[in-house]
Amino acid sequence: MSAILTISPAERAEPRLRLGAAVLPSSFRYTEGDTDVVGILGDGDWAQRAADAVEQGARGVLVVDPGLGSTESLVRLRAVLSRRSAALVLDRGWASSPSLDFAAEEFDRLAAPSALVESRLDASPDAEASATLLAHLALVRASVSPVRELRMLRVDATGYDALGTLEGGADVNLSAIFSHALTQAATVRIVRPESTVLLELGAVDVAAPGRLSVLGRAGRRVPLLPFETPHRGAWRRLHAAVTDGTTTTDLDAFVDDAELTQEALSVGGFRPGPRVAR
Amino acid sequence: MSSTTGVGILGCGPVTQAIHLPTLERVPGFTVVHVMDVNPEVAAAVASRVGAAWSLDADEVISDPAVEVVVVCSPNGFHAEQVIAACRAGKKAVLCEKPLAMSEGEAGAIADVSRETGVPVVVGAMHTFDPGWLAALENWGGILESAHTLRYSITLPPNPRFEDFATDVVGRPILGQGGKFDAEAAAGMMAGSIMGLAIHDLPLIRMFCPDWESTEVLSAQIIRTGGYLIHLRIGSRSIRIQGVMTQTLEPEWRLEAIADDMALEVAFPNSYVHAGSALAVLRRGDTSETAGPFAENGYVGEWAYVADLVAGRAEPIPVDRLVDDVTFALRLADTASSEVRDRFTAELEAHR
Repeated sequence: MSAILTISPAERAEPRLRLGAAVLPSSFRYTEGDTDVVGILGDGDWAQRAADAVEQGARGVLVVDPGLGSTESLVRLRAVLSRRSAALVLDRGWASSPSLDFAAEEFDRLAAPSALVESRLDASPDAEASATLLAHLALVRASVSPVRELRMLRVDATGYDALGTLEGGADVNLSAIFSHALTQAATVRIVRPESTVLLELGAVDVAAPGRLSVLGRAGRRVPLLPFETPHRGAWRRLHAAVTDGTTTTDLDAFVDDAELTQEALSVGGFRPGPRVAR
Repeated sequence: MSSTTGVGILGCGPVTQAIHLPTLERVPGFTVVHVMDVNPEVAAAVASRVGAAWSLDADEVISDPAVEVVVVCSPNGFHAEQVIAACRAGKKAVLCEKPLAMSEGEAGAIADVSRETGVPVVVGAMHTFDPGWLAALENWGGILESAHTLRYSITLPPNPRFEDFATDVVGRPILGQGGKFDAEAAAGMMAGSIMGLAIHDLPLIRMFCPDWESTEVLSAQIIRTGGYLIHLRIGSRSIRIQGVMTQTLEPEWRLEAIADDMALEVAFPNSYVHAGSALAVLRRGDTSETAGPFAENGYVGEWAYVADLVAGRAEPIPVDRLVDDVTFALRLADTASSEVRDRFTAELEAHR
């Protein structure tokens, strides 16, 4: 099996796809006609398009920023991937950041049920709450563990606040702030009484490294993080999955997060109404 | 006649020792002449450091004619009666540590007496006097109206980490420990956290919210690792207030105000130590401006204001503003603690 996978030059037209594939020349090569892998954007019925690509012979599909999509198409995509033994990688923003691999050991060390986990995203007011929350859940899943319960305290044009519980029992609080004044950024923090780990990530499309801070009684450690975009990290993962013949669990995780997103946004607040401080 | 203003201090705990006495060394024009504490050893030790008289009774300080400015650093429950007594004694000014009062009735009584006697009252909300914060207001005051999101977060190592570098503390109070942790204890913890810690910057939050009387508490919870997390909605503004207790070394004390086109972040120095002022940063997308840090902090600003007040160079702070500040805190504490109590009870029921 060749280590170089072919990919359509059409992907070059889309910056979010180009940002990954174009900087892995030993792994991907542009070619016309049928290709080994396909990159698509996650808007509209992306699952339908991904399934079609696999049906047409693609051995791997990468989807950038997948939206909620249609349930029927997701079911079909799962069946097609299984039948054709194809790989699916979902490039879900910060969740694809290679910095997470470097932070994993510290997050694992502190991720106890008694810990406080919190995460914040800063995004443009153009952002949709559902897409942002979906990316948020992916980030928390990738860095700590999946969110199992979530209740939205507030969702509006300026952002959202949510409280929840992680698999394993830790409390989590999520917030998003939409403003033109803030540059795109994400943070994940785990707090325990005697130790804290904080991961700060910049804009998704740039290769600036994040910042990992590990605080303890002795002071602060700041391990170095890589200069690599999340997109490049996602394409590397697709290459490995296709060439190694390994399966990915991206779709299962996505379906869980999508269901939680839809449920949380449809239910709204967890109580009939807020208390007025009088 | 002394060329300096005589100061009398009620309560000689760590706040007096680590904050006010070192700060007074940085602000000329004051002499501590009389201090009071219920612990005679502490009162005598603190008095000897500044060459002041000492008493076990607040009334002796308040009635001392050499005392022109009274500083109230006693336990919260005594604040109102001592502020009122100092006003009735006709002092030049009364500086009261936060909170000014523990009920709206007490706050109203203070306002009445201050207006009646003409004695100005100052609350030791040091961040309201911080040069970094004041510069932010001067430069970018429009954010007060345009901010849609406010985030006020404190990460706080144990106070002695800082007190011990501000002074040599004598007679540090022993905090109560243990006891049954039930719904009432949880509610009390929330109320205590708001009136003891969050209260520092609630006056700043209130500046953004002229409609503060319509505050809605969306959520209030005690953090299992130690601390509190509160989400509010005031009009169209979303407000998140958090305090996290930690044994790690690094403190954080930050207020963020975010609008569609600008975002202000004010990083305050930790309490007790004189580590300069807040650093204020205003971001507008890919550009930013800063104000500070200045050499002095809000404690110095607070005492410099008292000096100006005594000398007639500054106008008194409208007492209604101070009453509104503490009313905001009291209502928030009451509502948030009710939320915690009810949630605790409901979760207990759910697990039975």
